Amino acid sequence: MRKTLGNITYMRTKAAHRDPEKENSRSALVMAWRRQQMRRRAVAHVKRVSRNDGLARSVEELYDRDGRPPQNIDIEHMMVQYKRLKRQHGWLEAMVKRCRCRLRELDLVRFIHATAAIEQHMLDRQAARYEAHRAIAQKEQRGKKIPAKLAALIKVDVVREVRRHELRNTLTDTLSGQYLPLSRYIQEVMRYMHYEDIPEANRVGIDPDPEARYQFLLSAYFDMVVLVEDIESKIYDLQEYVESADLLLLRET
Amino acid sequence: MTAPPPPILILAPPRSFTTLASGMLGVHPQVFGVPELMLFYYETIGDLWRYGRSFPAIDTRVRHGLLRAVSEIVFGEQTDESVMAAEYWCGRRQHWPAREVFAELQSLVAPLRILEKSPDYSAKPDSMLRFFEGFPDAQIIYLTRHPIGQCKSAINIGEGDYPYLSNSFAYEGDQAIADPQIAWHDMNVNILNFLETHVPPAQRMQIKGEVLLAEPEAELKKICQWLGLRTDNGAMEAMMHPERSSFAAFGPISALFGNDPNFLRNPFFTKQPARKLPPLDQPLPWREDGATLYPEVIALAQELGY
Repeated sequence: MRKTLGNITYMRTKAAHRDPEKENSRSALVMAWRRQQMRRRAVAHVKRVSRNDGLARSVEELYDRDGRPPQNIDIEHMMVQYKRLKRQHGWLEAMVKRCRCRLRELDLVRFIHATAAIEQHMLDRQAARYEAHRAIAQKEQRGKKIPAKLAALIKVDVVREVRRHELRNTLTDTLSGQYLPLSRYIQEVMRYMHYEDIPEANRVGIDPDPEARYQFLLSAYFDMVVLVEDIESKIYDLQEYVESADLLLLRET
Repeated sequence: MTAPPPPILILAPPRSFTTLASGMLGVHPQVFGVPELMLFYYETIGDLWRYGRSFPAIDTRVRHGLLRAVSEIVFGEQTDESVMAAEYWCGRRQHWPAREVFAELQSLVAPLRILEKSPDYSAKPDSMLRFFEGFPDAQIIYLTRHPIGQCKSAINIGEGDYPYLSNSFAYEGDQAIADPQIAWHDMNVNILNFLETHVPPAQRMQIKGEVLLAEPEAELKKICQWLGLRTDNGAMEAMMHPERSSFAAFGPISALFGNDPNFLRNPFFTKQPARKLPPLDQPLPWREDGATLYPEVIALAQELGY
């Protein structure tokens, strides 16, 4: 057998070197690359709304470096996707509304406090971020090292993005849920939402404790709000592409 | 029922002209070229799917090829609806061994010979073994490319991320340096180890990518003769038009890729003059310290005819 020189992997960088000093140097290099990658993404994120969205990125990759679409692009597919997202959006919004009503029924005061706390947290974060951007602009440090405070805020965004991706997968559970009309996660949410309407024999697996049910529904509610936002941003991106494609077609005809 | 003809597999590290080679061979009248299926990367589709979904950046690479292939072969078109149907098709087979899924696709395209190429197999020896254990009668084309050409091409995609994604690091003392030549060497070693220990000489063939590009008619004729395929003018002419493949364009929005996006954007083949290959001992353009190829890399490149 021939011998390899390194320890190559596919698409992952977790393979470590046995020598600790070499491993330190390797991981420092990987971390520097990750920081650079994250910085590139952050810059792109600032330039365009929701650039990090998977669909927008996919569509964007269709275009070449000069922004020209390929000759064989099919705008119809974009339209189909757009309509599908609109349907998904409407349906999910209805779920959010129903969940909100249910939570109000279960414990109105706690629910109001919880939503107010989340909203306040979002506002605080937004203000902190705005402040950090303003500080950079004032010092004219654009393009230089990102301050620690802004880096921390971006990190929170990245964590949210990962969570959003996880949620998106739960919504379109097409692989394991091919026999199910809805994904397992959404099914579970509906079972908790309509607990009282389910016959007692079919309540297996649902925690009967009202506190546990409230907590589950509260967390599901915020998850679904994130999902609705996610779909809205997808629709927004796609709408831009469809509109620019329409303009292009008008100009050509 | 007669057994379907044996499959053809193209093995090579990434950026070694595999897309073009598979695009050209894939439109031969007796061959059906599929996109990068990645099917043998794991034991089952379920494992592959979960792997893809864990990492958004590679999800499209992992799943789009198979979805487009199933869409086209099983459902006869590539639209969002047929891709959705393909997801269900894969879902129903999520616990099947990769071999059985591939065998089903193979029998559906028979009497044409199915042609698969997934360069990522070269980074994972067990995926190549898995393929050959499932199809011991397969014929395997080993495509090579000059190390400096391949590394430069790999560095130029995705803003130079390739060495990091493939964990391709060289060490000068204790200092790690991102260097794609390690991946070039190790992927070729993985392929050679697999071919030499498992595949009988009669079932494997080595082709230089640069020669294929410069003299496509002669090289393709040689390959077809070895594969036992037609070499008449009609067949040779067909192979000059990779753009006629059902997969030589972007797919529907739910499965856009499955192949190199540059090829999907411009799938036409234009004959190129013979490339002047750089000397193996020149300083490497991607190394700031003026380093050259490592002796092991040079030895392997020379063994491969460079």
